[in-house]
Amino acid sequence: MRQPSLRTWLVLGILIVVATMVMAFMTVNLPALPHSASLIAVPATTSVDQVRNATKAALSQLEEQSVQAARQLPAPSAAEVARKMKQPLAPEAPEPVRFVAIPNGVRAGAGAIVQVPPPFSGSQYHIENTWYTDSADAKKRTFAFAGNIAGPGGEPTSQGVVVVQVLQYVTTSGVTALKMQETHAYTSTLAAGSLHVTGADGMKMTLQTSGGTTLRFDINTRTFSAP
Amino acid sequence: MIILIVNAIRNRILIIVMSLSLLATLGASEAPQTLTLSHKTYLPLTVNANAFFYATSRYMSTTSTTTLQNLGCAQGRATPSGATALVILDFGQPAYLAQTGAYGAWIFGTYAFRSLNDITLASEAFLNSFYLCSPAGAYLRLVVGTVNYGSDVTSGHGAAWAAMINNIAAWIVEPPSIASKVTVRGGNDMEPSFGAPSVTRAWVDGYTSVYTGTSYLYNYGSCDGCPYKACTGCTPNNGWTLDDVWYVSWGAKPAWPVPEIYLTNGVHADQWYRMSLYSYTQHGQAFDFKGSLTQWQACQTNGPCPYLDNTPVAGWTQLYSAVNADSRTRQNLGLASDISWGN
Repeated sequence: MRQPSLRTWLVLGILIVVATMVMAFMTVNLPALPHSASLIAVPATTSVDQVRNATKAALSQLEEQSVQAARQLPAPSAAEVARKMKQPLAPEAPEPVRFVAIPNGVRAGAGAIVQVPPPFSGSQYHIENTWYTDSADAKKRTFAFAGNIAGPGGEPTSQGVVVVQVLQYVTTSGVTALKMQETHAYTSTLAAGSLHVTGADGMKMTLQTSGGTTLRFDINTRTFSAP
Repeated sequence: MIILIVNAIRNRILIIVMSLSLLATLGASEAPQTLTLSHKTYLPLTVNANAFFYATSRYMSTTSTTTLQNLGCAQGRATPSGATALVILDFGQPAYLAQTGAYGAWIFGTYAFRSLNDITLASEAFLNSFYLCSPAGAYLRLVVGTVNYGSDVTSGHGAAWAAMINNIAAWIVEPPSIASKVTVRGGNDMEPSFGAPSVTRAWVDGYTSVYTGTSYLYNYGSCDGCPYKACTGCTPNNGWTLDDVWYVSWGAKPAWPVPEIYLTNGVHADQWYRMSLYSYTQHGQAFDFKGSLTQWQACQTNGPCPYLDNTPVAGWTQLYSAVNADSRTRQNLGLASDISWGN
């Protein structure tokens, strides 16, 4: 291969230096844009909007000013602050070491059907309802959240899913704490709509799809089957 | 010709820097990064991941004051001088016990009831411990949150939640005041798929009727089903309208958005840019985002979350880039936070 000439190397070197200088000049200090930059007055559509927009601007300014003012306040000693934690007015709720039944559950098979907020955003799954079961010693809980997998913009889809999550109380060095053991999603083989728990027989849940199909999901084997 | 070559070289250098930044961010431990926030950025935006600070928010499965003290201290130690930590403590679904008239929340994991008093003590333990463990010049904005899920999403619960936030705010300034380092806000993970717009708006109205001072309400929820580039005609899920999302995020007097920017493909950032643009075109004022929320840490224990595991720097950068690409919505984006299941 022919080696580049000295002149070529020189031109490349100058270009790199110029590029570096251009990048340096393009460095900007953003603090020139305060939070309220987007609150610049523009023609509002209604007088209600005008009042609201002016109020928002004032509230934003109030927040910035109060934070700045507060940061200038004298700092009390660590000892004073440590004493600041007041005694509880009522005894603090003791931390549980075993699971107790979730209120308003409907008994179904070896567990119960409940309506609880799922530990997932609606951008990930749309959960219709949940079935859960506890171990005999009430230290392990298995949730099965039933619904559908969210689409690219968070919209519902016809792909049904059961998300199994297992929580367990674990004792280490005499301290018992709640630990998440497992989370796993199982998609139904039929993309026949969102899944809804309607019952259970032992550890086998009965699910109805939004398309009207009935399915079974075995919590032990983590498999779907026809009824 | 020279300009083309310069641009090509610049772009290649930027790609390398971004790639290295993202690689540096991957594999981050639960503890937030601790280097000083840089005030300089480059156009087009490249964020120096080594100087990017984010705080850890948490889904709460306990209100033990001992645990909350430990968590507050950990965040305090991880917050550098001059930085502000935005921490959301999400205590779960609203709860109301009719037999006692007590409001509270069903915390995550056990879905056990915790009263507003329990949540207050837990929050104060976190605030106090942050104050004691953090360096001079560090600052905490604590958001005490719930979700818009369940039958107890009512205006009464919203009002009670606001009263609790007001009380915590009063406790902060009560001598000895710790206001030089901490402040508190209310919060709600408001997602169209979680609850109907009517009850969610009612909860927000209840909050609005009681809040005082800077006990604002941060919406750290989602805009599922909302329009994005590949689906400009999409509408929010569950019967919500764009105006409903606007109202609970901005239209209500104390409401401010701290949206979930989970998707690695930038769709969430695009959805919230479009919501801000809607606010500008329909109501004359764009959103003022108080920050961004990601779930990278949660995905490490509660995942996998394919395509929904944005790193904190990626989520913040996506939202910043999206809103600043349009002069009508441009702003200096607020703080970054990443949520975890660790308690």
